[in-house]
Amino acid sequence: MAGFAFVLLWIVFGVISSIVNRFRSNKQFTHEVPSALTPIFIYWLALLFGMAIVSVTMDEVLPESVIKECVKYFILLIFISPFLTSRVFIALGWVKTSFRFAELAYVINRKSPFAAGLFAGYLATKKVKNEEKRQTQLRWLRNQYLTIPTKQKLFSGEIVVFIFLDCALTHPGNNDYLVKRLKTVAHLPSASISKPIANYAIKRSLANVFPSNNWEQVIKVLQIWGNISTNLTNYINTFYKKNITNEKSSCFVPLFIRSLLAFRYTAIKQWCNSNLPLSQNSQNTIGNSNDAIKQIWYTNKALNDFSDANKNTILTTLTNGQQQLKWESRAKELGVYNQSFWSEITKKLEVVLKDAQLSEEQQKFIDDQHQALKYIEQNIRKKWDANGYNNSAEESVDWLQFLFVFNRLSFNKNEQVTAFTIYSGFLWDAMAGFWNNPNEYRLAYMLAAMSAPYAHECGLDDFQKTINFILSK
Amino acid sequence: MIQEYINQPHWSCWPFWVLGLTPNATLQNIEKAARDLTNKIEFGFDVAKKFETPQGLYERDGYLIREAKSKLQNPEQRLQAEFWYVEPSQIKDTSNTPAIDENQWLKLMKVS
Repeated sequence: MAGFAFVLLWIVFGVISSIVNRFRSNKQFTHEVPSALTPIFIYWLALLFGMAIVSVTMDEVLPESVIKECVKYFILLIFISPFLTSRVFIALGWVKTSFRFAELAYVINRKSPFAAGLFAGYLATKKVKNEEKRQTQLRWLRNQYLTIPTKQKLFSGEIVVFIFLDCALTHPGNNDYLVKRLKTVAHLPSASISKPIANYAIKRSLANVFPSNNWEQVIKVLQIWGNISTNLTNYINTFYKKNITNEKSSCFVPLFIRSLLAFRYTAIKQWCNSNLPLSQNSQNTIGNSNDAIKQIWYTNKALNDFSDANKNTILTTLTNGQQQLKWESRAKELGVYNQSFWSEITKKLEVVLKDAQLSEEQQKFIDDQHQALKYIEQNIRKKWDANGYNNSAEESVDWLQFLFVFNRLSFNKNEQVTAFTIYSGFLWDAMAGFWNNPNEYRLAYMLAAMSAPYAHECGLDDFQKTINFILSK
Repeated sequence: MIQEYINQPHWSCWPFWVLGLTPNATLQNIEKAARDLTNKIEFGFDVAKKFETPQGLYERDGYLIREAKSKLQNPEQRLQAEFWYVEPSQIKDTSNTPAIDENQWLKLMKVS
């Protein structure tokens, strides 16, 4: 009896939270929480019905006993929390079952039950030992995403899990590729990305940047998934603020406590501590000419462009009056009588501080990306013309591909700006189209957030206004 | 010549790295280093075939050694090399972290 009372309370709680979330979702689209009332009702009704049948059958078959009560409560316990049940099925490698149960775990996965289902299925595929079977299961999950009904809203969490699935199918075991794909969704509104999904993406991305021993890259990863707070991200953020940026006032919880909470991540704590000196080296601590030259090497090794402030500091340090006198005197010692040596040095310095020069291979790579962007644009336009292009899941796949190729140009800022200038009209059209369809707000938002810095840089004021309008909603 | 030097002037100090010298080296030191290294390579000492740069170990042969020597004997080119000189070990990562690769990180974070 107590069990059924508990189930009823649970249903009431589920219904109230659904109504509240639906109300919020209608008021503000970025606070995206989907409604999944129907499956929840069906699940709980089925549970009640099932429990009643089990109870009646057991009463008939078995006499009153402790074992019978235990069996009843055991079954109730399994099904009362679809989340825990899905975890069990994940461990067993039952893909479809874990997918269904995680989808029903509305209380835990209310940010996006469908995404949670896909994610649970994805995790379960990792337990499948037969490679062929695993591929089939992954394809099945991928199709679940691709066949999201046209009328259904598309949520950010679903797009992120689609990337996991797609990478597992097309580039199995290639974490670098997965991280690159994840960067394309950096601009998605993250309210509907549930914590386990974001945590998984963070861990994958961190594993990719830790070997480079570069704090900047680690912090960039945390910024992409900025609003996700886990023991791991909290520890890294607090460590960074306290020991590197010295923002002591913003650390509400002491590093010591954060460290205790992140007890499972010993290797990461070691990484943070041992990379402290390196990070301090790579900060703007340019004291003498040797430091300035070292800074040039650090920046080149990290494949970064020089910031304007950094350029000025390096130039001032290496070409100030004192330096000139020093090298003129050394030139005399060596017997260099050609006075143009100093202008040669400054010219070389300018070349070094310019953005990276392109090799033939890189130029070819850039050409290939421009070509790919062109094909993707043609493909999308063809689908637009055919009037059959209103499936948000299908559209998201094409746009993820477009953004992925666009992001591949990020190693050269000029080329990326050029590409943006070429496709700004196309992006504008797409954004407007997505904005007019409530099911595709997320795609409009994603494109707007991605376009914002480039539109500003290219001086496209009207486009900038449209972007600001979308981002302000 | 080292390939990277063509596009990246901050590699101008490569002759010092090839000969394993610093900007304090005299002309005699340059001669001696070039001779010693050439002999070692001819006698098949594997250690002499590699030299350190900030980008890791590079290979050197008799031709590269002669080119480096001639650059350092030219006052103008030596001046350029001195200006850009940096100790390769200073640029290497000073981190004490044991080299853990991406796959090991994935296992440590239990997401592999």
